[in-house]
Amino acid sequence: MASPILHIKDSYYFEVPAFMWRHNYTSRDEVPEFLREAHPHATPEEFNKALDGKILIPQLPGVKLKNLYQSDDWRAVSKFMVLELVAAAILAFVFIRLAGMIRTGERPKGKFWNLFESMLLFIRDEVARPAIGKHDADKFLPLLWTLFFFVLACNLLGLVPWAGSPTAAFGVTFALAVVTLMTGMACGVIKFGPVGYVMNQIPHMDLPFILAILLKPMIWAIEVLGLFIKHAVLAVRLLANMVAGHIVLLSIMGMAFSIEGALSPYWGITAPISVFGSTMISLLELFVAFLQAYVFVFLSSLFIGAAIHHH
Amino acid sequence: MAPKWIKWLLVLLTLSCATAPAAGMAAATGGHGHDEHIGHANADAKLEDPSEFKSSLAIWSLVVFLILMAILWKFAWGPIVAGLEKRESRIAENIASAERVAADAQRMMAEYEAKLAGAADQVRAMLDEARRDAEHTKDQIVAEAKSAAQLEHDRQMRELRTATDQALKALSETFADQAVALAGRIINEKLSAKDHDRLVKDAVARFAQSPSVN
Repeated sequence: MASPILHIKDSYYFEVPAFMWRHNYTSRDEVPEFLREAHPHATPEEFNKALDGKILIPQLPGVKLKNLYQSDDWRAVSKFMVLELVAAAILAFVFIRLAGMIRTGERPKGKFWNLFESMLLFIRDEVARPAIGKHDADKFLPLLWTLFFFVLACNLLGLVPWAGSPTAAFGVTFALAVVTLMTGMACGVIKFGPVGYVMNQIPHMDLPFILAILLKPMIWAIEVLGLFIKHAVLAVRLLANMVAGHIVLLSIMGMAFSIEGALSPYWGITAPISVFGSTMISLLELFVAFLQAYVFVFLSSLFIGAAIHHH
Repeated sequence: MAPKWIKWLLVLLTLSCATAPAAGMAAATGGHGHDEHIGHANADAKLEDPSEFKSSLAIWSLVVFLILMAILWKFAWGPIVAGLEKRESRIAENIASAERVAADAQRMMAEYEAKLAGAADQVRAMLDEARRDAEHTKDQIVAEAKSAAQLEHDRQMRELRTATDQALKALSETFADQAVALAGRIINEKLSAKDHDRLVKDAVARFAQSPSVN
């Protein structure tokens, strides 16, 4: 059996139940070229059987995949790329609609308005302002709001059947952490100047001159290293949480599949446990999706706040 | 609750025996057991690494994120921030004007209360004045009546006295004439006309003095 990890990794197809998407290849010529090249001896029937339920994402002309999960061409469009666009479209729809309501300056009315406005105000009042300081926080709100809801939407897509979590791929969380790092660096440089920003990495200490010459360069090196490590951990934390949650979900669901066809009493006991367990873990995942989006944006706020204030 | 628990387990087992053929059939037709090599036979070692880094995905994510942020900044966050500020300032304004109105109302109430208290004082003063006036008028009327009565009384007394004096004078003159005439007739010729006048005058004077004493 293929590794279950493949179910949570980025791929060049969407997977749905087999009966919903059948490939009826009658000759090898109908099979996509990269698959034919990778499997010179497979028959059309074998391709049909292997690809049933897999909706291949149409690629630009000239883009060549290596296999269903990898490509050496940077233009290849993967499932997570499509899902990011979906998340972005949903967010644009929701918040442009919300903006039309809030710009009136009226009091909030209705579930939609109250739900999203309470989240926006939570990020502003409980995350951004305490972490960055009331004076500077509002400048960063558009970034933090976009970060929070983008991460949240990507996390939640993992709970939508046949979709997946883009935040369970390192590339995505890395890019988001880079956004935080670059924002902190850019704003730090604007505020203190390039030299000032670099020197601001040393915490203020009252040291005798001799000791300062010895210690301060070392502390500076550690702090700068720490800056990069902190942002790397920001990316890895979100990635690990999403991957771990999906793996737990997969293993509990996998129990039912691995017992499939076994003696009926074992199957009868395992399947309900698997279904019950999956439901419970899905609820936990729902919580984790919100929690990790909150943690990500909270730490981003702290890092940005640290970058634009004196140590 | 052990018996109930066991009962449920038995139900579950029975059900699973009944569904076993179906499950077996699903396995036989290969519900999930696809050819594991097609699709990733030529993959490298990173295939099963959950932390595999794909630069194309990272760049794509960055671009999607930045474009999303730009769109939301212009069409969502900007208007939202403006709307929230508008609402905040309106609420602050409403509170301020409510406070202003409340202060006004309080001041007006204090004014009216003061006015009301003043009115009571005024009423009391007016009543007092009226009472004083009435008292005064009463005293005046009584005094006037008294003095008028006194004057009337005095005048009547004077008239009475005059009348009495006149009457007594007339009476005494008459008496004197009668007495002189009587005495003259008695003593006849013994009194001259000169003596007669002197006697009458003395008698009248004595008579006129005596009634004024009573």
